[in-house]
Amino acid sequence: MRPLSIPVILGTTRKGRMSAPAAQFVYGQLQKRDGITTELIDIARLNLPVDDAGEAIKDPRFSASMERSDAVVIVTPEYNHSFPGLLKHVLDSCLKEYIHKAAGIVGVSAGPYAGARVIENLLPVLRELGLVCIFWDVNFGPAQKAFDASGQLIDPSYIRRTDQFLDELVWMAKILRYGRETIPVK
Amino acid sequence: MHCPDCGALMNHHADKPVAKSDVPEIEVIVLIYCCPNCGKVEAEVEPEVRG
Repeated sequence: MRPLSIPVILGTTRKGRMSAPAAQFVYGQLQKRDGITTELIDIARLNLPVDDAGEAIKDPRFSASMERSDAVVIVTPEYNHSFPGLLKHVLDSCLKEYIHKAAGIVGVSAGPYAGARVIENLLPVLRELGLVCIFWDVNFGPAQKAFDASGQLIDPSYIRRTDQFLDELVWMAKILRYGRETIPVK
Repeated sequence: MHCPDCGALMNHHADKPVAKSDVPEIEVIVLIYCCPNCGKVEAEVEPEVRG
């Protein structure tokens, strides 16, 4: 069986972003698992144009990563109760690459709601892109109590929470790969 | 559809309506295929345009 491909998308370009250590942590936890290949995709490095939108601005490397993937982890901060506009801009640049693949969301916030609101707002977007969202999330918040100034995890409870999240995501990824490759829609 | 990479018969696993302009009534159906051998994803637009 081919290894499952599960990239992690770091969904913000803001300077000093606390989502970066969260994404690095989840990426590290995925790297420890057998039978999985992963990569960390920083949307700040994609440099998508902003004078057009959708599949017209598709980035070949991002598209190839999404096509290879069996699931994606989206690490998103909560800005004004929602996700960064540039994350949506990046996600909108693909479609067929996502369909019937699993998605898990990691919310990051400096406040006590720990990204709960951004996760709720991102779910309908992912559904429309054809992704299948799992019902586990990881909520890093307040983020400054989860990570120290150097980005190291200081709250060990996130290890267990992230493992539960990844267990569910891997299960869904296996099921959906089987479905994509063997069960016709009609 | 056959996989352009390995030649295996691909599985038709989804149909997706896609708006092709800012006019939401004009949309096409994109047929999505997946290769059981290598996992490659392909898509083709259904010839009939709805609108």
